[in-house]
This record gives sequence, structure tokens and C-alpha cells, in this order.
Amino acid sequence: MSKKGLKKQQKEAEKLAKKQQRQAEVAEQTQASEQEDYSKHCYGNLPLIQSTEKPDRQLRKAKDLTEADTKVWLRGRLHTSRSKGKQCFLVLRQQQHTIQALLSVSPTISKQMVKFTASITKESIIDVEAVVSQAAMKVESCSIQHLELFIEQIWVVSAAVPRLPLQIEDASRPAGDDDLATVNQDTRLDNRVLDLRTPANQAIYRIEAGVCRLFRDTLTGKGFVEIHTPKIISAASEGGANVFEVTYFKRSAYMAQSPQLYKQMAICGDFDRVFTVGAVFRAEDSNTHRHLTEFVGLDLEMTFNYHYHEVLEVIGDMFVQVFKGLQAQLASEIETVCKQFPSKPFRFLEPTLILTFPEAVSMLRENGIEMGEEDDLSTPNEKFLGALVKAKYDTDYYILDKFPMAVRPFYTMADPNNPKYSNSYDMFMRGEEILSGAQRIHNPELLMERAKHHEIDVEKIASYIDAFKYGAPPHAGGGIGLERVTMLFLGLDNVRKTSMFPRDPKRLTP
Amino acid sequence: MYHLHSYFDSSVSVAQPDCVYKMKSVHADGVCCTDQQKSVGVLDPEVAKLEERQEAILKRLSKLQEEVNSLSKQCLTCDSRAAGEGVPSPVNGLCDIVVSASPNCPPLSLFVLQQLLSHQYRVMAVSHVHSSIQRVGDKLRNVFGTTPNRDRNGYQFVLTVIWKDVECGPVMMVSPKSHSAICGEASIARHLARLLNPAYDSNSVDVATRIDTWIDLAMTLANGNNKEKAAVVRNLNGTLGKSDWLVGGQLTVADVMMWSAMQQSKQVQSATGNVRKWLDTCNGHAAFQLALTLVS
Repeated sequence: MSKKGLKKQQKEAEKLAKKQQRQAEVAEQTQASEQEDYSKHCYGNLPLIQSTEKPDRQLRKAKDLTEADTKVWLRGRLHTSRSKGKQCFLVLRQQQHTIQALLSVSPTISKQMVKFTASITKESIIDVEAVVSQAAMKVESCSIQHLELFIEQIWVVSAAVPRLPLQIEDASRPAGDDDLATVNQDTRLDNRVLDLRTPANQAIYRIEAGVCRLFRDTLTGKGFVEIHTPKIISAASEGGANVFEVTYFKRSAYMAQSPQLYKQMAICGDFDRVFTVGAVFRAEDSNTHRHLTEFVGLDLEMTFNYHYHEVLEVIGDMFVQVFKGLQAQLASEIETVCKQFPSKPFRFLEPTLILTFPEAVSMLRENGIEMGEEDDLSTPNEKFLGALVKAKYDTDYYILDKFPMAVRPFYTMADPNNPKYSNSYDMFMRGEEILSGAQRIHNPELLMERAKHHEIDVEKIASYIDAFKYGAPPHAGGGIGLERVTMLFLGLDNVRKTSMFPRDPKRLTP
Repeated sequence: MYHLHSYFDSSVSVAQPDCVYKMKSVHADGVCCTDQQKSVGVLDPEVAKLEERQEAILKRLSKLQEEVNSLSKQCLTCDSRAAGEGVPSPVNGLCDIVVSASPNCPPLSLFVLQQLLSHQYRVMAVSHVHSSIQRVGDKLRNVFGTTPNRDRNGYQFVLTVIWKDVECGPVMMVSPKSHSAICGEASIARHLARLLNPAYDSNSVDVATRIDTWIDLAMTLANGNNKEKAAVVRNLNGTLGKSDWLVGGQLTVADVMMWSAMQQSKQVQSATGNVRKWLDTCNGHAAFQLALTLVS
């Protein structure tokens, strides 16, 4: 071999030797550090919980912990974590509650454990065994401020991906707060699963559930029966323009715009007082802050003896009981929502204030709005009227009675004393309409006459008219949108905030 | 012994000075200023300015006089309108008077005046409880009876009483656009008095002023310290010795306010003599019955 070749060989041999030496060193080091990990049994990723075992362990809720507890197991989400060399500060979150937890290197806790904990991704579900102790200083950044956890074991139940589409902290921040990031509505709605975890949303949907529950309970207490009406119907119930059409085997059917017809049929079937909670579908191409194409309708219908004001009082009282119930039972949730979406508390009168349409017209005219006596109220006029009523009576909720006949549907009963007006009413919260109701015509001849007057094809509503042929009682009722009522009660600005998975002309997912 | 001849001549006449300082004439008189040609230019404008000022003052005086004349004419034409602007009147149909009061101290005069008002107009009275209050006794809640909803259109006035958490006495609101909230039982009573008697202001000013004085004394009775209260009661006693009612020999809003103040300041038990007699007359009057039910 030439001299060059020999030199090359020598160099390569040296390189190889060096590499081997280095590898041996590294192996030695890892071996050494592995040997030092004395808390290997205290942390790690749990295998997939496929219901393999039933450990005798109680997982506690952070909100129930007291100073009396010593060592507890908790399952929650990793909200935030911050590591500083030998220590790691975590915030553990369980729905609305957050609690601070610490992990520091000690004779029982190794450096590797702290390193592992710091590397757990945010929003992962973790099981933690910790010692509960009183916090030396009030923990301002958590909802549970007087307690702290000192972690002894930490296991990952379900890891989250490292890059989240939105940060829960950003989504929980009130808008307009310095220059810190917030999340806009479209991003929230696209990643609803994450957005729903914020404390405000946890509170909003609990309040919405409260509205529904109080509605049911109050009406059941007044002798109402809950019924369920079909949502696939053969003919459009209120004007053909705003229905969704579906293929129904070999013909087409429509999605119900309101349970109006079926409520009335139940009344004629001698159920006296009925209410129904179900989906309502409106194919309106309106992209406003208060319209959805699908929402939950709370509808009620009731027979009365001599005057439809009997029904008006029942509906008014139902609302008052719902509001009172919300303020009494869900006060802390209302406060949580106010932290992120500040608004004035909801004020109302008991019994409910009832104004008449002519009074409203004169109030508006006094303040410079020009409108005819039989004109419908436009949305800006409604808002202005709401502001005037608030200034005069200090109430966010009121009823407007005796609307003009010209602007109501064909099945509305006319005022016997003045045929220009009708026995119909609207209810408003914070200046926006939430309910439209009336005394219904229960006489088939009169109904056909009114339908002809409104140029509606009598054949299409033949089954509707048939219901009144076999002795129909005088009745009245109305319907509200659950999302809209919750939105207006909390003073939120958009109905999509109160609909868990909203549907509008532009949104069909998730 | 000696005779001295006068050594001075007393027949000489001495010119007495009659002018200490001599001033130049300020009038631009050609006769006086002939030797002051230079200063003529300066003096003339000063005089002109003075004259101008005099003219301006005279003009303003005449304008003021015109204004006063027109105002006095306006006041006289007030009679033709029901009760003047700002005060509730059923000119444009139904008129809703909203009074918010605290259930801890109900304004008793309001209920007396409501009864008096309902003799003259068609008045509907309703009461509501505001959400800011947790509990209100049934007496207050149903003060106007528990009859169900009536048709508002048949009435000229609606008196809406809202039991609410108000800080400074009852508050009245009729038309948020034309006035701010009217606070205080006395002010509300004054408003309602003008409704009861549209000629309140244009009739005897004497009567109106006396009623006003008594209303103010009533407020002292309600809010003053013990000495002030005793003084008002003494005053009352004296006036009631001469007549049955406080002003003009008939029931006026002064009696109503004073009665309400006496009830609220708990002076009723210690009333004696004329005051006692007057209280009994009030309690027997039909219009006071509703308010009496609220006296605990």
C-alpha cells in the first residue's frame, strides 16, 4: 500500500476509535442517569384505559377539597405548566375550577420526573396523586385560592397534540383587554370542542339548561303537559318561503317551522294546557346576530275561560319565575359569564308590565319617531321603545298587547271592540322581541274567511281547519327561542354564543 | 389814655378767592375750548362714547321691558292649557305616571291623592314589585287590590307604583324625554295637586304659597330633629285652632302631606288637642282609607 493509503487507513481507524469511545461514554452516562431515576414508578403515560382493571381508588373533585384532606387522587386537565430547573408549577383544571399544583426535585422525586411533567402537552388529561396543603399566599390566578397540591405521582391518561388550534387562556379573556390575544368567533365555532372548555361557556350552557328546566318546572306546576310534535311535516305551516324541503321516499316533505298546528290540535284533543320543547327550522337567509336556521323552541298553548289575558298572565308569570329562579340558583354562573362578557344585571317587574300598542306608538311619536297607527315595529324602533320603557319603568322585560290586525298572521283573533287591532301580543327582553303570540281563531268558518283574506290557498291548510270542526275551545299561546332568551338574559351580543353547535346560512359544521 | 390812629386803610376791598382750582371745561364747547384747539380731537370721541353707552343702556332697558310684558302675557295664557308643560296631562290620550318607592317607607300621600284623583278622572292604579327587591309584604304588593288585568284603554290616567330599592325617597317619571326623574314625596305631591286642580297656579297665589309652606313644614316634620319636629307640631296646633283644615277651610294637598309626614315620623301617638282632632277628621275622610291600610 502506498504511504497515502496507509495514512488514510490510520486516520479512519482513529476516527472509528474516537466514535466508539464517545458512544461508550454516552452509553455510560445514560446508564448512570437511568440508574439515578429513583421515582420511575411515580410517573409516565398510562396504557390506554380499555377497562382492564378496577382499581380501588377514589378520584376527587378539586372544588370539594378541604384542609382536612391529606393525600388525594385527582383527574383533570393540564391547564398550564411552568418549569424552572428543579421545580415545575402546574395548574390543574376541572370544568370551571382550577387549582395550583407543584412538583419539585426531592429525595422522592427525581429530575427526570420533573422533566417529564414539564413536557406534558397542554389540555392532556392527567391523573395526579398529591398532598393537599394550605397555600402560603392566596393563589390569585386560580379559582381555588386557598389550597395547593404537592404532587407525588403523575400519569397521563390521554395526551393532547402539542399544537392546539386555540389556547384556552386566550379564549377566556374578555375582548379589548390590553394587547393580549383573544379568539374571534369563527375560530371558536370551528374548534368548538376546545372553546366549550372555557369557564364562561361552561357557565352559559348551565344557565341555558336552567332556563329549559325552569320553563318545564314552572309550567308543569301550573298544570301543563309536555308533548312532542313531529318535525317532518307535509305542508309549510306559516308561509312557504322559509321552509327546508327534504326528500321523503318518493315525494317531498318539509322541516317544521313551528309546532303551531300540532299544539292547537293537542288543545282540540282536550289537553287544555300543553307545552313542547323541540327543534325549529327556519330557512331564512338572514345573517344577523340573532337569527339561526335551527334553534330550540319552547312553545306553549293554553285554553282560557273568557279572556285571553288569562293566558297572558300565565306566560308573564312563567317568565318571572324563570328569571327569579336563574338569579337565585345560578348566581355564580351568571357572575362567571359577566367576567368575560360584562353586562348590566337583568331587571324586571312582578307582575309583568303590560303596555298597549297605541301607547307604544304615542311614546315613539313623542320622541320623534314617525310611524302610522297600524305599522309594525321595525327592529330599530323596537330597540328604541325598549330603551324608553327602561328609562321610564326600569325594566328589561315587558309585554306589548293589542297589535294591529294588519301585521299579524291569518289565524289571529280580532279585537271585538276595534277590528283594526287584534288580540295579539309580543314580549320583549332588552328591547328585542322574544315571543309572538295571540288568541287563535277557533271557529273554522272564520278561519277560512281570514285565510281567503290573506290570499292563502285553503286546500293547503285543509287539515288545519279540520281540527276545529269538532268543538274547539278558545285558546291562546306563544313560543320563544331558548338561545335568544338566554342571550338576552345574559346581555350577550350574539346568539351563536348560546347555541352549542349553531346553524346559520353559512355554517353547517361541526 | 392813648388814642391810636388806625394804621391800616380798611376801605381797601380785598378780592376773596372763590375758586381753589380752575379746571378746563370738558364740554366740547367752542366757547370754552377756543384756546385748547389741540385737545378738541381727544374730547369729542369720549363724549361720543358716553352718549353711545347711554343709548345702549336705554335700548336694553326697553328690551327688558318688552320681555317682561311678553312673559306676563304668556303666564296669563297658561290657564288655557291643562296644567302647563312638563306636568302630566291626559292631552295625548292615556298618561302613565310611574312612581318608584321603597317598601320600607311608602309615600302615604300618594295613595290619598290617588283616591282624590279618581273622583275627577278615570284612573287605573297598578302596583309592581321590582326584581331588585327580594321580599315585599302582601299589604304593599296588593295595595290596589288583586283584581286581574283591566283594559288600559278605558282610562285617562294610569298610576303605576313600583316597589323598588330607591335611595332617596320616591321617584316619579312620566316622560323621560321632557324631564329627569322627580324625587321626593313633596315634589310628587305638588305635581299631583296641579292635576287635581288645573287652576292651581293661576288662582289665588296666596293660597298656593301657603300650601307650599305647609308642604315644606311637612318635610321638616318628616326629616328634622326633635326640636324642629316639636316646633312644627306647635305651629300646627296653633293654625288648627282657628280652622278645621290647614289652608282655605277645605282639604288641600297641604293636609295630605302633613298627615303623611305625621304618620311617617310616628308623631301620631303623642298628638293632642287640635292636632288630634284634625288627625281624626283626616282618618275619617274617605280618601284616606286606602293609605290607612298601609300604616303599620
